[in-house]
Amino acid sequence: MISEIFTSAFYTAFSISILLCYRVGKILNLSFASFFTLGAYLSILNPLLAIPFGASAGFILHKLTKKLSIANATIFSLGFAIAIEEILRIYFRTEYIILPVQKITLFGEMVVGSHAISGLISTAFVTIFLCFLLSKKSINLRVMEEDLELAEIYGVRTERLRLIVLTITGTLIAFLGSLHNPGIVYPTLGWQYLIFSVIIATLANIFERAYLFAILFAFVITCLPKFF
Amino acid sequence: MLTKILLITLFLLFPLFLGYYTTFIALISIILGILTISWHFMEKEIGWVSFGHSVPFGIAAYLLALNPTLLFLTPFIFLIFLFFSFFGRRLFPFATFIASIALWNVSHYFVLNGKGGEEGFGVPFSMSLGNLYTLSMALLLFCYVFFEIISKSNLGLKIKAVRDDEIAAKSVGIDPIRFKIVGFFFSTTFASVAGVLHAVSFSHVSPSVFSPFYALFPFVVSKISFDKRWACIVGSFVIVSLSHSLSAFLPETHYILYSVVLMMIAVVKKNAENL
Repeated sequence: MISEIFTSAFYTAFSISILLCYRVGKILNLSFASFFTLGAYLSILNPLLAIPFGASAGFILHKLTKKLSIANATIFSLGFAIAIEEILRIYFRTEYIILPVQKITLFGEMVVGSHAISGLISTAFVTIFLCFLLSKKSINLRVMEEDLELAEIYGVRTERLRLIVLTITGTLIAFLGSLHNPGIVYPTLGWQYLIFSVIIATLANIFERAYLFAILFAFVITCLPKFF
Repeated sequence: MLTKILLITLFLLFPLFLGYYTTFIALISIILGILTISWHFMEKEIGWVSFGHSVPFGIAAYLLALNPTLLFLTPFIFLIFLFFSFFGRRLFPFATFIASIALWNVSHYFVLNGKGGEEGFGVPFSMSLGNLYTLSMALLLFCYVFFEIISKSNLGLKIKAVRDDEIAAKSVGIDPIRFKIVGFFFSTTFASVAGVLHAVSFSHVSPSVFSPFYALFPFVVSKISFDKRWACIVGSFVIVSLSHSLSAFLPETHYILYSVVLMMIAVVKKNAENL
């Protein structure tokens, strides 16, 4: 069950990142698939390298899509995702890279060490984000979610907020990619995680309290197979 | 139109005299040409941009490999797209793309009687390259003529009316759902035909039929062909030839082209909207 809890924390962080980009950044960020893969490839050198690279990728994506509509920004993010994958494919010149996996025992259950760290980082991110949502400082974020033009009229620095969202989520996903990869790294690795998270985010987005429902759905979907 | 058909026929006949490998590459281009024309009809005439035409393509290929009698299900594949159309035109491309990627991942775990999975399934029958090429060429020409005639017919005009304004179309007695279904049906049926030909040409079906290569191929080809139906055929030859000729030096070259086209299209579309 420990492993499932870490996985659900990971998917919660992933789907909250997608929701944030969609609701605040006005982009369905399909680049997350390649940010994750980028992190996984960089873990060959040093997992911490994923942080500056993920932040840079998020920053570049913001700069290039800030003037685009949701649909165009999403198409751009798909092209950007494929470009990153191809750079990785050309640079590493191999289809599959196998990474060493260290297992540890937690509460009597064997779990992958890096997955436990990614689970803890995801939990920390979700906790901090929920605390932020409950604070008064989240008002700018909420207004921007509701109506972009209205937020600008109220004096919210929408472009700055979008930059922060895309950079932080980009950093997080790349870093999670360096920790949560399955031990085999290949250029299209990130898509399966993205699809699963997009499904969770889509379901959660139906409800008004989307972020809370993302936590619930991620937990139910990842833990359900345990009971069957 | 007759001149175009004649020129296309001559263009398609040419690779038959250039040896086995070139004919095979041309065959792949023809099959993907059918997929692109079916996609082009959906985008240009019906007004729905799909990033998941690999769904009908791949499902038809899998059905043939599992049991050819299951192909009777292919006319119902349009129901998948009809379902996604309820997300609206803006989310439709991404919903279909996510569906194709989901199928790509799920198909890796699809095992029947110890076969399938990542390896895929063998196709129970095969054809000689010459026969398959002739059949594919005839089907491509049929597909091209069919969509040309449909788009200029009374039915095509009604489909276009629904594309332009559903409420206005309703006000003049056109049922939008009915004509959307008809349009989706035509497009997915020809995409399925392409999938079946693809399975027969390789005698094998693997999860890669749902990959982004097939999902985004029609979009990219259509864009580099400046949205002209006849040019889509030439465009698919260009991308397939480029991809195969450069694969020894730079594998998966087509994906570099895909990323450039996708990023450029997003920027160009934004500039066009601002004009």
